[in-house]
Amino acid sequence: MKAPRRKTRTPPLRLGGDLNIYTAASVQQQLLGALNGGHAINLDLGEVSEFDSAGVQQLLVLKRECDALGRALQITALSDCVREVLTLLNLNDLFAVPANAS
Amino acid sequence: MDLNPALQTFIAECGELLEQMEQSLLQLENDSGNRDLLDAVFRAAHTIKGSAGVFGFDSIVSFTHQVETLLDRLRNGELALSENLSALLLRCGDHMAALIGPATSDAPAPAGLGENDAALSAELAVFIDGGTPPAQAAAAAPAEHGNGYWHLSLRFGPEVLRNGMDPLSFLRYLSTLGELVQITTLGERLPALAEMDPEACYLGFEIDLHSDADRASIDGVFDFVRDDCEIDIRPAVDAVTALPADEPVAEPGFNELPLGELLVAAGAVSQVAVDAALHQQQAARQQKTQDNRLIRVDADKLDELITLVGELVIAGSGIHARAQQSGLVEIMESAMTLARLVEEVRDSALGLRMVQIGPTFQRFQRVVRDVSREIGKDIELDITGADTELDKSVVERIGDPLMHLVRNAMDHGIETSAARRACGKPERARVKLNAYHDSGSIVIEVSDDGAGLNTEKIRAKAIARGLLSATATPSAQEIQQLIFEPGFSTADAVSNLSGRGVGMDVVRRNIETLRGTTEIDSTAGVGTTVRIRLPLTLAIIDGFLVGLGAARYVLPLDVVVECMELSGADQRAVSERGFLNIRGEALPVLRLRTAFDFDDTGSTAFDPGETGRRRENIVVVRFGALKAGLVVDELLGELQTVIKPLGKLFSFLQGISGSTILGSGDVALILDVPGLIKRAEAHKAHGLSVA
Repeated sequence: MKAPRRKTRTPPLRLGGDLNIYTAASVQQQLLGALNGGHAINLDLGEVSEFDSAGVQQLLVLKRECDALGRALQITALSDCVREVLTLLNLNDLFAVPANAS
Repeated sequence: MDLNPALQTFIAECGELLEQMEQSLLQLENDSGNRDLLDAVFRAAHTIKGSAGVFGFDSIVSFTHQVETLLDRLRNGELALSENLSALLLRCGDHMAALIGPATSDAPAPAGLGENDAALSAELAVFIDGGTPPAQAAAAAPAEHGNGYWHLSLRFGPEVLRNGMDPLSFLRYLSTLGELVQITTLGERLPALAEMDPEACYLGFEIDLHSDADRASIDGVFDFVRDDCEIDIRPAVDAVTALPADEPVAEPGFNELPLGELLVAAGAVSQVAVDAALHQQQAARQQKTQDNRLIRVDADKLDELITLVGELVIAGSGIHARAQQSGLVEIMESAMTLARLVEEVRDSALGLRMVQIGPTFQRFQRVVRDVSREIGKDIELDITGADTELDKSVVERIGDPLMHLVRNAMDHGIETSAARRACGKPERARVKLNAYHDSGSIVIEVSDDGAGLNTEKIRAKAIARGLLSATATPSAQEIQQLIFEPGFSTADAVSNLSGRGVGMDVVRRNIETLRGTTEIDSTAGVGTTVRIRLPLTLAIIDGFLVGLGAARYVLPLDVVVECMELSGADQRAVSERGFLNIRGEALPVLRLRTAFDFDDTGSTAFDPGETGRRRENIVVVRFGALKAGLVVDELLGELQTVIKPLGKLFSFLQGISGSTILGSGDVALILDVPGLIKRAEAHKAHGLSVA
């Protein structure tokens, strides 16, 4: 399914498949690339099928670095499993998660 | 990312817990009001669910959850434990055991597992929905305790993810214990993105939990991650939850100042309450250290240790022998000290392998329960001597023979209820399992209070099968032993369980491979007892060395009763009659020279009739109730013996059960005492009939 994109100036970084310990290293490279790109970062997590602590860590670090650089980080879409974890960990507010984006 | 060790622990623990659950359920059938037992069942199910949740085995979690719900209703008194319910729970336990296999390996699920799951779930649902709706019950429960607030500080170690565990799983499981009032995720240990190790874990959590669970159960959530995680669980008061959620974290130095002092300072709680909480914590820790006193060890490591100790024993006796030859007192003294230490090391190494037979016996509670229902007899199992210890390898292999014997006793031994009533016996029959130590052996008894063996029937059948000649007049005892012969069954009707004539001879063979013996003792109308006699250990024994010419033989020291020199008159008695009068007792005697066909022609004048005779000695040995004398040339004293099994090539050898290596490097054969005693008995009978 295609995630709806509204008013996004930069193309969103779409992370599909798993966002877990097994993919953490490659995700880290993608995020570093995005961070070095110099634009606001839009994350499309609408097609993430597995999301674990390793994934949470990546997002937390990304958020912190974006804040430090004064860069905007927006999650434009998120799948159910990502939403479940962020809700469990009480991180929805931190990432300004859209209420019903999917 | 090796999941294996944790997974192995999970599988082993689930096995134990399911066994516990089954035991408690069976006990509950006789003691239905026992709250402790019900709690034990609940705890077992709960722990399995939790551990399975940590590993993400959803099939086990979802099924066990239903079982747990049902058990919870039982605990709350909303349901009563009926016979049907108890049977259902037992089947649920079986099903949980069946689920573990496919979940923890790549093996495909056996056919029918899914249907079974659905069927049991449906049955559970009937009971669960029978009372008040579960939601209501859950809501009512927390109200009973007002003060179930806890504060948890978790700092996961870097290796957690790599060890295959996900901190999220623990939080999810924690949420099943109660309400997660507040979670604060701590990311301050995370390094910069470019420097971060993507597979290391940097997360920490501060959690406020509202739960009626006690500290141990909350603590139990983290069992699998304990080594890799700083865990701090403190009882909190309601006031804590009223504090701004992020304050404890934001407060600098929060970690330096104990929460208790913080709270006292803030006037939130009194010093007394803090002391009480600390005391409680202390107690929990002590409990913890006691738990830690048991460790799991890979059985292969133990086997390796035993093998090494065996080599050490041989090397030690080599030194001992050389020291004696040298005649140097200091060396001999050192060798003695060494020998004593080696003996102690050997005993404790063997002790490591000793396990109680209790759990093996307990498994039969279920068998007896199920089978007695199946065949419509009222039978109870009586267990004694459960704390008798024996070698682990023996325990592992005794299960099948015992199963045969118990089923046999239930099916053939015990009469129908009607028949029992008719002969004035209590309707409820008993099968008894008993174990005890006896002169270096362990004895396991399976007895029943049934009809006993019908010796006439056995005799007729034995004659028909050609096992016995029609004119022979064996004793009742001898006839009874015939049921261990291959292809023998006295059951008139072949039942589902036994009676196909493939029972008792298999039992005997199994026991014989363990160097054990079987005997049966039966009284018509009173009952039957099958007695299995097993060596304590299969590896190392204290031996008694004897010599025949240049050859050396070892007897297990435990069977040796006494030794004496054989006088000339006695020698004559032995060769003429095959038995000896020792303190008024007729002792069957076997001359090992004759038994092993020693060539005497070359030796110096062996002639029992002459005075220039060879000195001979007699060793009196005992096995069970039987005693016999073995005539040997020399008595050479005690030694530690590592038993080396003989190869297949020598399996036909009679009177020899194994070999060992002496300190001198020579090989000595280990005598098979039960076999020799039997031969001596036969010899004596022959001698008596001639005399």
